[in-house]
Amino acid sequence: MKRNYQPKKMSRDNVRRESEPLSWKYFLVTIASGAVLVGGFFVAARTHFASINYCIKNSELKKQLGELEAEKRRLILSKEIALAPAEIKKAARKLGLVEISAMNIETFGAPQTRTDADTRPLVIKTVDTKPVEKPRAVVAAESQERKAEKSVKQAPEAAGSRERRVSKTGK
Amino acid sequence: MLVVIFFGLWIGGIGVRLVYLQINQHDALLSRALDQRRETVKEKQLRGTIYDRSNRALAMSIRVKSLYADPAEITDIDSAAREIAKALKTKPAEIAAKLKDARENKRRYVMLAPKLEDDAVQRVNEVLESKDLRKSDLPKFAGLHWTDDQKRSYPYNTLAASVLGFSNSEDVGSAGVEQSQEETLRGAVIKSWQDRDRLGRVYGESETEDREPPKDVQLTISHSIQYKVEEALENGVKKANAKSGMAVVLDPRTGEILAMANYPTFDPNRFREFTAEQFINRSVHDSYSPGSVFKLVTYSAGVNEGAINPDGFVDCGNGRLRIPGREIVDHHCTQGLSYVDAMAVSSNIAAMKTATAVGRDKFHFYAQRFGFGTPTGVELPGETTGILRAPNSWNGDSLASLAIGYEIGVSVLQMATAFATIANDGIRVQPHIIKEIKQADGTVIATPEVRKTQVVTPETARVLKRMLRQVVLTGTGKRAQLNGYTSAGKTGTAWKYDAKLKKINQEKYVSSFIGFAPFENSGVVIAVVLDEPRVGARDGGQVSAPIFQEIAEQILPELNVIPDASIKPGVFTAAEIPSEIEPIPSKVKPGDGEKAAVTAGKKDELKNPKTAALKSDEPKSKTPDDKRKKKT
Repeated sequence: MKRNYQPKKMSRDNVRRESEPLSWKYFLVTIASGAVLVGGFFVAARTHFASINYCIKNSELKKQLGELEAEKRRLILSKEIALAPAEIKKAARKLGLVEISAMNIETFGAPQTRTDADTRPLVIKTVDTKPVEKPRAVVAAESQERKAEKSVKQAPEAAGSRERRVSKTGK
Repeated sequence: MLVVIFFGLWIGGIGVRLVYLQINQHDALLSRALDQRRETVKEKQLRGTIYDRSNRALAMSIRVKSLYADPAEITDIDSAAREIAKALKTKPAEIAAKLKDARENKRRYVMLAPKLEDDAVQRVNEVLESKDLRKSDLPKFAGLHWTDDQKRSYPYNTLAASVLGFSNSEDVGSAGVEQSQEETLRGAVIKSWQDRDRLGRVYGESETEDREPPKDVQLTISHSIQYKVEEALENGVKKANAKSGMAVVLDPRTGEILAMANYPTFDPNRFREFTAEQFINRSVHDSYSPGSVFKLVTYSAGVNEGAINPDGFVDCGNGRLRIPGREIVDHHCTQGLSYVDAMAVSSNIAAMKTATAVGRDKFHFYAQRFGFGTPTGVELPGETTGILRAPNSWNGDSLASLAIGYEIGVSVLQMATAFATIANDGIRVQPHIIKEIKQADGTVIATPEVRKTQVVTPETARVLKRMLRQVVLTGTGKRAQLNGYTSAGKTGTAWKYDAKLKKINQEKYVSSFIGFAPFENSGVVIAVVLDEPRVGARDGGQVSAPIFQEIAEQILPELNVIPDASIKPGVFTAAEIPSEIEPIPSKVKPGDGEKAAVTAGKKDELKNPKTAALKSDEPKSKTPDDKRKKKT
């Protein structure tokens, strides 16, 4: 038979749990963790808003790029319009330029089969000639002759002009 | 304890609610959120550019804006219409009527000004600015919005218009290369989404489809050569008072089409102002009876088959030849004539005798080998096959008619290709107009595959070249002599079939000259065809050869072809050039040949009513010279 051994009733007031005082380390860790968490939230929020800001800027830049591309195409088109052969021809004519064609080119190639049409000779300048220099004495004599001729010619002209003047004043 | 329970329930309630929202209501809430911030955008990429061989843009698209109105956002339509009309320089009543009609029918999209360019957009924005209005987009005017659009521009206006074609208001190619290369040039529609904040700023975007870069097409056409050809053709057509004219310039070695001109033409920038008839590229679309230029095929067949000796003589009898149903009279060949001279003066009897010596089947075979009766395969829409009937459907005199270019329908391009074959030592190179297809960054995606066929032997080609050279030196093509270059070619003058009269019209001709230059190592083949020249001499040697001369003299220096002759062409009078137009046969019997020709004309008319007028019939003609001869 078992015997129950009941412990003596003890007053609760007498029982005391040993309470360990919270270490200041725990406080620091908790505060630091909290700070990190909160800081993390701030950083995340900041990053999020920064990314949105960058996205907005990116989209604006994309739009600008598109506009610049469109402008570039418009400029290319304007350039092509300005460089159209008809426009260039108009401008060239204004400047007095002549169109290049085979008609403007003197050719020196070996003649092929000659025809009736071929009978007209080409005017080809083959040698660049310079007149021979005359001796100085000859040049001086010639200039004297020319002077004498001039004076002979001028004399009757001068007389004529005097006569005309007289007739005008006579009126 | 109560506090703990309260907080526990509270947190638990929140948790349950969160689970409900996050899991059960997830899709509904997500779509609601997306609706609030996300916008789907459809953007049409710009249509590809068409370049010439030197990378000059012949057709290109630019970004423009279209102004539309939402009548639901406009309170006072009449006053709004007045201001809009002032900005757009239109009538207020028209705009008011449009807006009222749309409001009654509950339409929220009324196009007011389509495809405005940048300067016009800025002007409209300035004029329509309401300072008190708070609106995120331009113009600052209630109910008005801009939408992105694109506009097709052709900077050189009419240049190569019939080759390029045009794209319509929906940016769909409707003629020419624009139509044939629609799949390549069409700008893809790209769907994308944009996330916007409460101020309407885009902070996120992405494309839902892969963006394929737009493709550009580079042509073999040279804008400079094209301009010169068009100018020479226009002058020639006006001078001869012709109904129309066509010209093709080919590189015989590569088959590249350097220029293709039609006159009259149109301006693709203003395509609405022209009729559909004017959009047709007649050089590939229309077929006509070539007349004497087709003798090239006749003599090629004869020489290649050994049926004639090119250095020998042809016996023309007394200048008359009896063929089934009629008698042919040839004043050029009254006794004997060398084949070279026969070609030079365009003798019909010599050509007919050559064809007879070749035989029906062989003649048909050579015509096919030269590419007649089948499309050339050039990358242009609506190309004609021409008409080449099978020998079993020929009549008694069909072979004789074919020998001199009747009872057959050809296009200018087909005929030019035949001459290019001879110029290229007998090798036929398929003509093509597309040089390459490339991406916007210049990466080449595709180049055309060019078929080459040896049609006649190089020896035959050399003989034919010699014969064609004689045409220009002493024959009907004297006016095609060039300054500084040798040339060769053949004239052609064919009577036209009149669909109204249902017979040939003795007043209407198709006059042509097709040739190449220089004689050796030919750089270009030039075909010039005038439809119904009505002033002065009207045969090919008189009206088309000078155009050939003008074109060749201008483009050969540009192509850096070295001059190979010092010949200065003389000025020839009409009397100095052998007439090509054949005299009227002495006894014309309404034989099978005529019927066949008429049938051929009808067939083509059924196929192509627009071009039926270009058909011609039997080789009967009358010139002033002939009339004089008859009188004497």
